Amino acid sequence: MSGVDGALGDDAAARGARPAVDRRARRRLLLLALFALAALVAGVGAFTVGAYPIPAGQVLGALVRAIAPWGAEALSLGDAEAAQRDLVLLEIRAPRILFGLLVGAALAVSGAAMQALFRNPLADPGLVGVSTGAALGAVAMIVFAGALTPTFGALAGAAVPAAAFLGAAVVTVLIFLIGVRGGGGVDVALMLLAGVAINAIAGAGVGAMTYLADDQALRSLTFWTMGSLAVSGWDALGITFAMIAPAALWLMLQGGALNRYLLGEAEAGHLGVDVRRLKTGVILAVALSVGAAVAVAGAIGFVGLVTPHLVRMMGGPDNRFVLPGAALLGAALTVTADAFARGVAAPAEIPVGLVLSAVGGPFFLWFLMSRRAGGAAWRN
Amino acid sequence: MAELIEVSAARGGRRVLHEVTLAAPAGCVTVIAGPNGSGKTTALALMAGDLRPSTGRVLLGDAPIEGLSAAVRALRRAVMPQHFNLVFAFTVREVVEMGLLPALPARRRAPVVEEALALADVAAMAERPVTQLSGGERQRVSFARATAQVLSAQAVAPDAPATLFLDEPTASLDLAHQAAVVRAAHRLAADGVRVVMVMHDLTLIDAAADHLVLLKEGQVAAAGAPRAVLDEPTIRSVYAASVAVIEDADARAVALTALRP
Amino acid sequence: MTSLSRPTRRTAVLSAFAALAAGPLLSTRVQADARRRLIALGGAITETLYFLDRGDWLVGADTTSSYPSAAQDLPKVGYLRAVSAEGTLSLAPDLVIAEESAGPPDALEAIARAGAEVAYVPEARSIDGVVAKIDRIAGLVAAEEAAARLSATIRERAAHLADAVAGVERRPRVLFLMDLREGALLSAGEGTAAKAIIELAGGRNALDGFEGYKPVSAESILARAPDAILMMSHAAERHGGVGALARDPRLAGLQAVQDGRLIAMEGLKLLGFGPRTPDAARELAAALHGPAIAPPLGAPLEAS
Repeated sequence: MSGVDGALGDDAAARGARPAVDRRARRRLLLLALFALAALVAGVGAFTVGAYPIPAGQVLGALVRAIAPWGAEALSLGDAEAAQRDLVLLEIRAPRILFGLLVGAALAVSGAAMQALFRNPLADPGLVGVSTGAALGAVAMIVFAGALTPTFGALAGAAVPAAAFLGAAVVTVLIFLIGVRGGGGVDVALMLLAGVAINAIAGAGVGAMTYLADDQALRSLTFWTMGSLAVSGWDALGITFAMIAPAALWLMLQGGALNRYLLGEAEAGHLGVDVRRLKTGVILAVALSVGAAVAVAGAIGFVGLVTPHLVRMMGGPDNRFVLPGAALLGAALTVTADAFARGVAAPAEIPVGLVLSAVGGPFFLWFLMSRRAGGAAWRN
Repeated sequence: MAELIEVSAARGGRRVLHEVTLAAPAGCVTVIAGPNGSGKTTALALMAGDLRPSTGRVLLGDAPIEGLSAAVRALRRAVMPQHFNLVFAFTVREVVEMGLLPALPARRRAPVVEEALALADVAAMAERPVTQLSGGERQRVSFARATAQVLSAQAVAPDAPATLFLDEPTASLDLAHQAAVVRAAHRLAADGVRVVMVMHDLTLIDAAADHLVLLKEGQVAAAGAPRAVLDEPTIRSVYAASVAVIEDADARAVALTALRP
Repeated sequence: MTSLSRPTRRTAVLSAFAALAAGPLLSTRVQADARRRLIALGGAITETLYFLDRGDWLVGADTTSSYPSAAQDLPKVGYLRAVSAEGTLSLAPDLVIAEESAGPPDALEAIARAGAEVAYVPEARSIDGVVAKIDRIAGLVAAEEAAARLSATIRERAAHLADAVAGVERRPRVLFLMDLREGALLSAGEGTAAKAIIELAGGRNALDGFEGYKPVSAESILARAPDAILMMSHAAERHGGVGALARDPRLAGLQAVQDGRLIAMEGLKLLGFGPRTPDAARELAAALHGPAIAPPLGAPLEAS
């Protein structure tokens, strides 16, 4: 009883706690700035990595020439070396780096949003079948529309991402319909099991498509299923950006609503959240992001699952911080992994999905084990 | 007024409320009690707008709740559910902050959180993750969260009294914290908040309620000041149990025992 | 040469620089030496270049280029269908000779935009196709004379084999197995190099009614009762070699396997449709009809 009285009247305790709030807010802002810096450094640094030997100083020159051609007259542009170097930087590395940033951000922010939507830290576009659904849509489009690749014009370039979006959206809605109980609550176990089943079905669909594919389509498929950022010219960048940027930005702004949603659907409603609109919006935005990412890069795992956990470990579970943090860190991680994939086996390259799984898998295991041991790693 | 007017409601095809009329005045702590299955939680869900009646009208602050948007409802009422669970390791303070309404100006957010933390006696554990708390501690955090919403609603719209719905807020609390929640409810009521609670413990109700509604089989069996309602014949007819009502020396508290066969 | 350019404004500018720069280079090249920096995408193309004595022009190749052994030491720019654009350009080629199935298209387009000539060589499914392929490659690397000599030998050997198998009355039905994946046996249908080489060797493809390479069930193979099973040796080795495969429950019941007619041959030689194709067909014919069918005309053709 006296303890209660003490707490009611003790302003000192309240005053003592306030700096903790500021510290936390400062720490999160600092972390976000660090993640943004990491993405920037990774993006710029990736320009200096690749099979084609280009000194770091030349990278800067080439970028200046591209952005401010009038400045190029001061530099010697007459030799084939410079022209080819510029082409490697601007036509091969630049779009690929931008793709890496976009795809990494899309997958990581989608993973974070799905973990909130499903109220489960293991939800991931790959785990519940959204990526496979997107893959099935993309593969169906490739096979039936005769090996449309992004180089066949703007309309054809949009066909595969659009089909991937549809596949991702159908799967997300389906899983949600299965997982939602009569009362409006979410049966996570049922939803994850549905994900397993849908993964199997969509996987079988991809297999069947491979069987139906003619040789031309198979060529596109073989390459596409490897999980690589190598198919990336400027042409496909527009549609990918148009799909990912608004969806990811919208998701990043839903942190407050998703925090409340984590308390329960009814509780979020009591707090003024339009739950139906939130769920529909998150499903559509995740399907757009994952669809676009899968359409351009195939199946890249790990980023969507582990990046949000990393962010939470460093700054806590507040989604107003986790969503933008995951987007920035996911972009940085993916671009770094792709630079490694381009550089390590030059002049050949290895799929970026392989790099991310090889590094991310063991890390995630360690993370799970430390969580089991202490429980502290979950939050730090 | 938060009111049910001749409201009937069904759940799962079974009728649980029959033409119930009850009112919860502002500035009062209204307690809804009754045996298991008497319709207490349903009545609370109807008043909070979570359920729709099959017939009758539900008013919240003199307006039909049906016509209010989610955002307006959030300004008019907060709800503390029976159960509260979080998978992610938010701190107590973060959970309480989730109760703040977006319309609350930034400079007023911290004082509201501190007041809610203090009222629920969870200020000392403000920086701990809720995933590490016991069931009773979590219930207090949930109470603090709902309190923060009501306090911010009052700060944003001081003229329209807000309602705080509490579904068995003391169910897993120890004696001292049961008393603290009751005291906090009265504090809020004194500030103009309309508090509506579902409770079981008749002894606690006597201390908690300004106004008591006893439900039996979906109908109002008795309503009024708790001392007027809680007599042995009424309790026997509503609960089908024999009790003894014992007042303490200065008639400030009532104890009930159900030990008689 | 297939035109690949679909230039944006920026690339048009860059290409113009590349063209300006390439002009003087072109003339010096013709004067001194026709030597070019080559990258071959496709094992049969690499092989043909070595046969035409142009192996030392190669600065890189794809991972299917496994013959001759010198080709294995070349820098590799990735798998035929997953070529790295930047990796290729880093080797500074001025000519990339690619099979039509090389890809991805974006990568080859970027290579062409960077100023390297990209020349495609059509697939071959016949001796005429092989000769056309050799002529096409020879034209690109100024080796017409060597090509004429090579083509003459190839035609002579092919004709010799064709005469020999023409007299065969019973054409054995040969089942080609590309691979034995989990549960599925990947076999050859219409329009495949496997079917073409089997027919050159005087056999018949055991399966028909589908295009390309498709999985078939063990049961349907038993029902077809092929006279021989044909595999690529690296695929056979992946499953423990011919001896182990003969005990594989999916194959052990076949009469052909019990009679020891499970034939494994080097993949590139068997399916590449390059200079070694007549020798490969003769080797296969000998395995199918007995060694007496067509005595070799001289030593097998080998590149160095």
